[in-house]
Amino acid sequence: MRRLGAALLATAAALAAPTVAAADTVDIVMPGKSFHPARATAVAGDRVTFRNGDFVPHDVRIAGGVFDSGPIGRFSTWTQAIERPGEYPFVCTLHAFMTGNLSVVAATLSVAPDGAIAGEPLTLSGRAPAGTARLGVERSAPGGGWMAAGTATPAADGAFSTTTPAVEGASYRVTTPAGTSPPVTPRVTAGVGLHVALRRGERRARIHVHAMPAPAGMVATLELYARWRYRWRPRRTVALDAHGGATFRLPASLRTYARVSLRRAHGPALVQSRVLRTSDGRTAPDPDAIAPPAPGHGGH
Amino acid sequence: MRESDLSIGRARRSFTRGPAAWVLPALVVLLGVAPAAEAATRDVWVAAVPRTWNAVPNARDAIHGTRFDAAQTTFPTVVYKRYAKDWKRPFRGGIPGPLIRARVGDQLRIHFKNLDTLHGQAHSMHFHGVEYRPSSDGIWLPLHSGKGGNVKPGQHFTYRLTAGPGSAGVWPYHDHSTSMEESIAGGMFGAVSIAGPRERRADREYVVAFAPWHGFQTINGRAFVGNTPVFESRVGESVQWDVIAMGDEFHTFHVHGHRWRTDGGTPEDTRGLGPAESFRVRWEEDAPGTWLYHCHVETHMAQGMIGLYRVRP
Repeated sequence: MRRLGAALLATAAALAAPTVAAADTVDIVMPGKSFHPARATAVAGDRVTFRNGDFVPHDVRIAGGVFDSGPIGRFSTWTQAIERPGEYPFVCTLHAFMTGNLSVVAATLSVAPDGAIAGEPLTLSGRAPAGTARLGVERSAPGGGWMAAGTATPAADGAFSTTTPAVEGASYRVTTPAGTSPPVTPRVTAGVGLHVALRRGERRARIHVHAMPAPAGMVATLELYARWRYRWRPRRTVALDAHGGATFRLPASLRTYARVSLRRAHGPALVQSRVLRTSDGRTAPDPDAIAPPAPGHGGH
Repeated sequence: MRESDLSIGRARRSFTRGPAAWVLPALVVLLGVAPAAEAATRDVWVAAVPRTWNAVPNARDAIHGTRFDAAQTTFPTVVYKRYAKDWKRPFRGGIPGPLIRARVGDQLRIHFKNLDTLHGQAHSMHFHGVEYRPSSDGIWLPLHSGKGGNVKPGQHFTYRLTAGPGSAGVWPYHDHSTSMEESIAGGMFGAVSIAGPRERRADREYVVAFAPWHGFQTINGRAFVGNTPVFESRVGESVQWDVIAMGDEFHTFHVHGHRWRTDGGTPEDTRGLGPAESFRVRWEEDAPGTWLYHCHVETHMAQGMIGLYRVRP
């Protein structure tokens, strides 16, 4: 039920947010005496198409003479390309209560809503004007201002996706020849403490996992050491509960080493627990890191 | 266990009916020997297929503490891959190729298809130990060999073999076409295991194929403990080791904590073999623990020719 509620909230938030152009044409419809969406975002160079779906004519005018469509007949369209980033409030002069706003940006930029752990690769994606050869990625500097944090190469249509290390409290933006994108500030957690404890029963042993603070959207993977294969092997993955907890069950007879890692689904391990012995739960050195003794102690 | 449970491909045989159905098992109990199984025709489907192969999947030599990058140990190659009857379903192909089992007196039909889209080379299968006509020799010899000596990409050929009276034992098979040298170095070899007419199959049968691979000395295409096969058995089981060698070097097969007897009855724990030589050794397992098996040419052992044998109590 909680998950359903979260999904509904996410859907509502998506509907309330300004429309971000996913292609190089932004559609704004007039189904009646209103614009839909009334607030839209386009990338510099995009075309904006106004579709009159009403039974009466409308027009679209931006103050300052940026554009004036003239009358748009019923069920007709009018298209205008806008090259310069800026805020463009528009109005239908035939129905002055019909207003809207078009934000034209140098590039759109977004991050995954789940946030990230400091140091984790943070995926930034968005769209720049079609034909942009290269983007600069910038991160807000601790003392103010912006510092370079990488580059990205967009596709021919301007779409891009790049990763940069997540820094707690930092904002990110991309720079293009047309200007800079609006900044985004991802939710970055400084660090996650991962505690594991083993409880033994007669037939089963349980490994209890507790992540602090509870990171959103992460899964916990139990890894057991394959002693005859000399490698860690993932055995089971579960989602953390709302409090950052999870439990794994093992046969009580199992004698090896265990550890738990936190990761995004299908992603690399971001946080690793201590290594514990499944026989008694005590902390053990990583068996994968055991170095051979000095020469002279080997032989077959 | 019925022989058909042990063999790959489809085993077509007529089992004894009528009174013999209980008389023969009774003889087995009374005399302690297996009955001579009737000869069967065994069909096996094998293709040459491309595969990316990593000789060191755990990225380390755990004994010496050396680490490897996957780029140092992973290469595309062509291997033999077994299929179910009439190519209906592929099994996992690798190094070595599938173990082909038969019994003395059996006829073998090896249906081979060349699916090499990696190099686009011709390939073949040449079998040691068994009987065949020159047309099923699987060798490329200008003016003499037939289609089976150099099966081109996209083509197929059926090798017809007989497990003759002197064929009991373990034998290698390998590519003997125009691409032989490169293909064997890439892993196109395997073993044929032929049981005697009255011989019981061992509870466990392990294939150990010594061969170099991209600078490593490998067992079954893998190098270093944890990557090479971890063979497992239990105390009381009979185990059989099928050992073959390919390449240009000699090897010595050694198992820790165990001995076997030569045909003359002499105990030994190490036996040597050269390129394309093979043998099998057997024992009743009585030594629980984790043991090493390896080639005792020590540079080979250091380059990966070593594995683990785990015996449970």
